Amino acid sequence: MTIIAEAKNLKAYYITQAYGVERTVKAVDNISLQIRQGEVFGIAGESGCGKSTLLKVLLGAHQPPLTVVDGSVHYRFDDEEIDVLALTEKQQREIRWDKVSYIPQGSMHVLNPVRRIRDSFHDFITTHRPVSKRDSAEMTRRYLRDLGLPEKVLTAYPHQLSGGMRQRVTIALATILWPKLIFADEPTTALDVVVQRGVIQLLKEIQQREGSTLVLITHDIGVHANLADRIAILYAGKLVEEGDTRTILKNPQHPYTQYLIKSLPRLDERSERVSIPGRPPALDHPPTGCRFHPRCPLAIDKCRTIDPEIIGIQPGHRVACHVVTEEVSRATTG
Amino acid sequence: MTTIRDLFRFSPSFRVGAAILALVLVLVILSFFSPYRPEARRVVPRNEPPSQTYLMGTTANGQDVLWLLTFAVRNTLIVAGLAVLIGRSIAVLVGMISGYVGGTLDRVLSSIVDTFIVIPRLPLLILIAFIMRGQMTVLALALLLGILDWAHPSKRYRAQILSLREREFTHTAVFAGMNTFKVVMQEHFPFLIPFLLADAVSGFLWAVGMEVTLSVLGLSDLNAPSIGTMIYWGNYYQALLTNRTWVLAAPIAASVVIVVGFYLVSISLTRYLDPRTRLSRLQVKGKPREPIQEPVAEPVKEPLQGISS
Repeated sequence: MTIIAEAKNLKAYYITQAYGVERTVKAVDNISLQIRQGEVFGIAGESGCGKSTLLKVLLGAHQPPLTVVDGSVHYRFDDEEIDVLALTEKQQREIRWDKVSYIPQGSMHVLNPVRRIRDSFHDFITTHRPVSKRDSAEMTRRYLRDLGLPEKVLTAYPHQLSGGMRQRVTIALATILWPKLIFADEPTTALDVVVQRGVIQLLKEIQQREGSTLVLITHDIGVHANLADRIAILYAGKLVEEGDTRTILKNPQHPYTQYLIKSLPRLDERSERVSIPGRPPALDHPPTGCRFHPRCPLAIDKCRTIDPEIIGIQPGHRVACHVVTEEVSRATTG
Repeated sequence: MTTIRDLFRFSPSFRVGAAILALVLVLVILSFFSPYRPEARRVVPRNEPPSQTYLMGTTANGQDVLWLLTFAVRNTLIVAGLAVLIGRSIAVLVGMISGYVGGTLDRVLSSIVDTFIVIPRLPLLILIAFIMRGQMTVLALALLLGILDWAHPSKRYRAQILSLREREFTHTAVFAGMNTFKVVMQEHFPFLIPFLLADAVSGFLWAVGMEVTLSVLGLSDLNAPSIGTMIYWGNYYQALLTNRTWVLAAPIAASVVIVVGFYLVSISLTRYLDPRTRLSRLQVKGKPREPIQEPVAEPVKEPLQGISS
């Protein structure tokens, strides 16, 4: 199993200083994860837990006030190791869109409203490949046909397309150069479920055709269940659980993940869904110890003071929780 | 192309304006078929009133007013066109750079722009033209007008680019590796075209006005026929006192026609490009032909519980 992207002990804080008052928001705090080649890796968590910040750092596209305090991000393409955080601007330009691509959040504003779709594609293609206008149009037409999108979108302006079609065109635009690593930030948000299904199928198809790696960020567990091979759960800037989609959905260990899964509606069960008590913490003054302890029903004294480390309890299943760790150690020793 | 067709069909002011501009164009084309050279004098009898041989009469210098007018219109349009071209090029360049790059460069450029805005242009023009008296050519005048007429439009373009710079598609384009030139020219420039169009027409009118003003004062190249110099020479030979009004009437009528023609085209274009009036244009006026039928709900025959049982 080759690792295509890896983050080690990543810490990225929003550091601001205004009129002598310094504020540090720990949006990504000590996250390590490995993304394997050819998989769909899902990153889940509620709003404001640091999903988009993590994505920005993984892309190396962070800008002040977001600062990477510690840790590293590496890509590995065919034994070529790239230190993402140390790239020069020119090197960044070369690998982005070509090898690493990004499907932005909110496709409404991603396409230039005064350019035809064909011209937008041409602009993006010629940034990396020296092709003529006719070649790029042909390339785009073939690609859209392969993906099952109607050819007539080529001559349309973005405002003439529906929201779902615009999102699909954006996905096509992000993947036209067959990148090996695709990051998608909330690709199905603001779409109704029928269109969501189409978008999910499109993403799946693109990912499977060339065996690209897809990193999918969304708060929608349903989308993750459909698409992802592995899921990482973020809470308040920390990685709390990571494992196979099946394990996470069927056998969640961290109390937060358990709540998250329990809150999903089921067809065969007619009971009220339980929601997590309390609200997510503000990240400029996170709780001491485990960041989930004020809302956690299982919290013990240790949780209030000591920050739990993420520990593998089974092969491919990591959890950061004192209670779970103690249970596991009791089971192995006793 | 469809734009022009639509304008012809639906905008009366565009129809009239286009007709007037076509007339002006005919005059310009006629200048290439003139039997006399523009600077030739005493080629026809002097001070003849309009007649069948000399449709618009002749001047005190023995020139045919009609043929002289064709050269005059051509020269005036060349001056105005060049001035607009030079002025808008500077405006787009400065506006885009200071809007997109920002920072110190923006502050420096903005203060230069502000300086140009507060300079009173007509007195400065008269001063420069007075200093250059006798050496002023048509090209120099165009350059001078162009250099003085870019500050206002450049501020407008800068404001546009400032807002475009923060839009999501700009971030995506930059992320995808496009360089600054490509982002600005391919992604942002199309947004400026409607502004550029409106500015070009207003700049054109300003340049025509300035050319006429300077020439009437005798500050431009007086040997090259233009609308202003025709009026100047008419005054010089006391056309009004000697009741030879046709010498003055032709250039004055021409300048009025040019200004009105461009103004009509400009307002119809602006109205066409304005999204608010475009929406109201799309709306069909009057009542719908068929009244919309209210759907009648069918009575439910069986109670709903019957389905589950």
